[in-house]
Amino acid sequence: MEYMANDVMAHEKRILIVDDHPELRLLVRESLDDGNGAYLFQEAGNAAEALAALPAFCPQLVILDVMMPGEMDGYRLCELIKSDPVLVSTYVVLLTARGQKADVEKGRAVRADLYLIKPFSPSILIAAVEEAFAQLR
Amino acid sequence: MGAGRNLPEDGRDTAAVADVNPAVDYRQIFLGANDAILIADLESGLILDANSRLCGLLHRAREELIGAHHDAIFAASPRDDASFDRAVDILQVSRQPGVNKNFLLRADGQAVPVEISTSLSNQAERILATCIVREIAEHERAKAGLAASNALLNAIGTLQSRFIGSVPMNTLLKEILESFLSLTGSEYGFLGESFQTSDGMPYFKVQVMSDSVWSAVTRDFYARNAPIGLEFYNLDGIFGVILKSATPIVFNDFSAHAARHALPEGHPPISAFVGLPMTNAGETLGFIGLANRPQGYDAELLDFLKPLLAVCGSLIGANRASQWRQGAESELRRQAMVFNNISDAVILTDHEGIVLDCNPAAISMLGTSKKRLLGVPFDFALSPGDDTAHQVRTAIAAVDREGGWNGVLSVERGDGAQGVWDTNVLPLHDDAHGSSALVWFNHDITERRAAQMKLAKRTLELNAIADLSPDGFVFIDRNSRVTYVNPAFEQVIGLRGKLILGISREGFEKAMSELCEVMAAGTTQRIDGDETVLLQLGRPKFTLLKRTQRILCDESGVLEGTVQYYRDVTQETEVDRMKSDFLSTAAHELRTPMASVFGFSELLLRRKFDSDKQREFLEIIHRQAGQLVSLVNELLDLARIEARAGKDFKLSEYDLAPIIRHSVAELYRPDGELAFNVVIPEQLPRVLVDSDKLQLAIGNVLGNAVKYSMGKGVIDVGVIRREADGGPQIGVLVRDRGIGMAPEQIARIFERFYRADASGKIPGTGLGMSIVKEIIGIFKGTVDVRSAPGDGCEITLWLPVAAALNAVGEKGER
Repeated sequence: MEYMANDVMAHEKRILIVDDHPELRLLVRESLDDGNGAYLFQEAGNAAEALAALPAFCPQLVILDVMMPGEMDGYRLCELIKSDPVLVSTYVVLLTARGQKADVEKGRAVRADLYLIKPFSPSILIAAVEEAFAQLR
Repeated sequence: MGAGRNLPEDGRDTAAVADVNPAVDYRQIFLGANDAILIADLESGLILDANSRLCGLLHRAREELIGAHHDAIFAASPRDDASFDRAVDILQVSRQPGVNKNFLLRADGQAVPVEISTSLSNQAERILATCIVREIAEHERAKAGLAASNALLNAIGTLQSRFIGSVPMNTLLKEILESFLSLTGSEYGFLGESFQTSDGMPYFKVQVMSDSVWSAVTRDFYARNAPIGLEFYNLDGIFGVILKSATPIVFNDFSAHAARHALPEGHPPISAFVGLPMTNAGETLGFIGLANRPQGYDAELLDFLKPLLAVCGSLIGANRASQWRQGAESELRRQAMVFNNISDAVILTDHEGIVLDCNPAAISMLGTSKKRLLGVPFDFALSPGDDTAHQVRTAIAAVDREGGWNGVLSVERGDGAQGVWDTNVLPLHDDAHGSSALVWFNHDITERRAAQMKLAKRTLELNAIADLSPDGFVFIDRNSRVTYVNPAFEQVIGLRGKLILGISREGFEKAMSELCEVMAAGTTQRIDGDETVLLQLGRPKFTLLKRTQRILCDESGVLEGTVQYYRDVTQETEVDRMKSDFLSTAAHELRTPMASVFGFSELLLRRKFDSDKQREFLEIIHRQAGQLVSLVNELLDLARIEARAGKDFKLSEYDLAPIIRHSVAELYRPDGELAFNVVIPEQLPRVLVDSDKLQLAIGNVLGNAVKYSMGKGVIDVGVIRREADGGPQIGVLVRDRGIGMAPEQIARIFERFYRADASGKIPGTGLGMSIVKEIIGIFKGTVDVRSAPGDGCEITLWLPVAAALNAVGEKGER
């Protein structure tokens, strides 16, 4: 969780967790953290914080909630990432409680790479993230 | 008069004298002879002697005659008859021995036809002419009469044979006129018939007239009028007199009448005139007018013409009868054809209603035979029963009274089914006997009736449906005119029917497009040819309308019109949307805590964590499970309040103070962290509420005050009053000194799941204030919110005072 600034870019697998619920961010991190530091995490409580973190942290993967307080929701953030020439290759996992068909379609429309519905099984998330990094490599 | 009395050729032979017998008293013979004898001196022409017979013949005295010139007793021939000698030739003729015919002039001017035997003798140097005169008037008359009779018979025979030979009537009339002209020796004449116009006015029509042309004007007059016949409508003059008179009328001195009966211009002059009426069976059919017989018209001539006139009358009468018969026959045939072929049932009855005759249609309609119908009472033939009998009696009475009846008769048809006839009854007129029968014209209107009744019933039903329907209907006919709008349409759309009835489809659509917008084109649906589209109406109030349009066509596919059906779907669309929003939001709100419970418990099960982590995870699981419980509870509360609209509320009058105190006590924690400043007077008006529900509402408001105070400051709880439109109200006021809200947050405070805290640090479901609003609403109260960021929040729950509620009730609002 704590890391040195110069370690950031050196770390191969950087994950940005964006969710307004702290316990959910904790759950995602605990799920993916194998204790050996396989991933480097950064957290954001809303889309604005995430946007601010993106240029410096430059994650290969973003785990993104949709409904968050503030001006911007997860869909919009996803759309921004996917329309940015630098960030476009970022793998975006939409992890949201909005589970209706229209929501999923909207996720596809903003070019999210994966759509997971809360509540989710940590093992499925783990597998999905490993698969994503395998693709990225 | 013996032939031997002829004189020798030289004329001066005296042989006659030698015959004189001295023993005979010639004087006595001369005087007493049966023949009239005249002796005249041939040279001087003077009459020397005349016997009494001659005097009697000439109505003159012997003294008058003796010494007179013989010219005085010879008359000019009244007739242009070659068998009579001209008076001017008398001397010469008289010189000739033998017999001559001549006329002697009577004292009264009458010419007397005579036969004269003349013998000459010389006596004392004079040649004497002895004329034996024999009156031949009777003979002549008989002879002329015979000739005339022959001509007359000839004329009659000719005319009759011509009539039988079907010579055109006009030709026959011409021949009749010619016969009359030649028989009477009249100069000209005409023949005309009397007729009646269709409205009964008599007039006289000249059918033929003689072609006598006097002048250019006359010629023109004749040419113009002869072929078509002259018609005279003014029968006040001679014509009228003649037509009214059954006997001939003579005007031998016509000029005396000329002033009274001016002749038309171009008419030939008239000296003598006779009008000969032609009659048949006592009826004057017309007359023949003859003019200008040189000797005038006398009774004798008229007697003579009688037979011909009678024949003419008969001929014209026969012709008229024949024409009438032909007309009547063809009329009868035509009527019979109509009678037999008409699709209406035609039945003849007498005035008692007994059937006299009927046509084939009647037989087939009644499903019976003619034999079974004739002689039967009409009403019985129609349908045995008192009703029909009464109807028929009424009809007959009406015909007798008013001359006709039209109405409806019930009838039992051949197949046993009840039928209805539209019936006209008329009396059948017979010239001789007046109305002898009734004709019943019956048109079977059973099917039409049934269809009309069905249609009327259907129309009634449809009208009732359309009038009562909460949905709007508009009917546009095949001519693209709006012909019907129902009350619901007027109400929903706010367009008065009066303004749109009769306008064209284009006009109607234009008016509609000004009022409402068609929602996204994609919403147009077609199901079985019906077209459905969603319309959004801006005024009189926001309304969503679903318009379904069906095009109506008849069996052959011809457009009959269009029905437009408008359903107000605002409510259901809005409710649908809200329900769907609520459900998805509620699901989201439930899924979030569930994600923690599900996820952490799985982690705990799958991996080993140290005891600190285990505890942390379990605390999260517990907290989120608690959140789930709250959510579920509040959702249920809200759902129950909404769904039942307060029906399970136990409303009664309560003192407000204990409820407030109890609510505060529920939240009060003795650890002193929270400070409530409760100021409530002991005596408060009572309110009509469900105490448990009011306690829940106050509790939610207090809970928010506590959560958003973040442990800072005192929470005031008090009571205030005001006068509102509905009467006095009492307000439960809760004021905190917490983080407060911005106006946009206040605006969303009653929104489901809306939470002013964006950080997620303050627990809550976002349903609390929604529940408060629902509850207070059921108590007919309102909720006021006053707040500013960082300046705390003041919530007032306004409730009507119970007394006021009662007062309203007493005023008799219902």
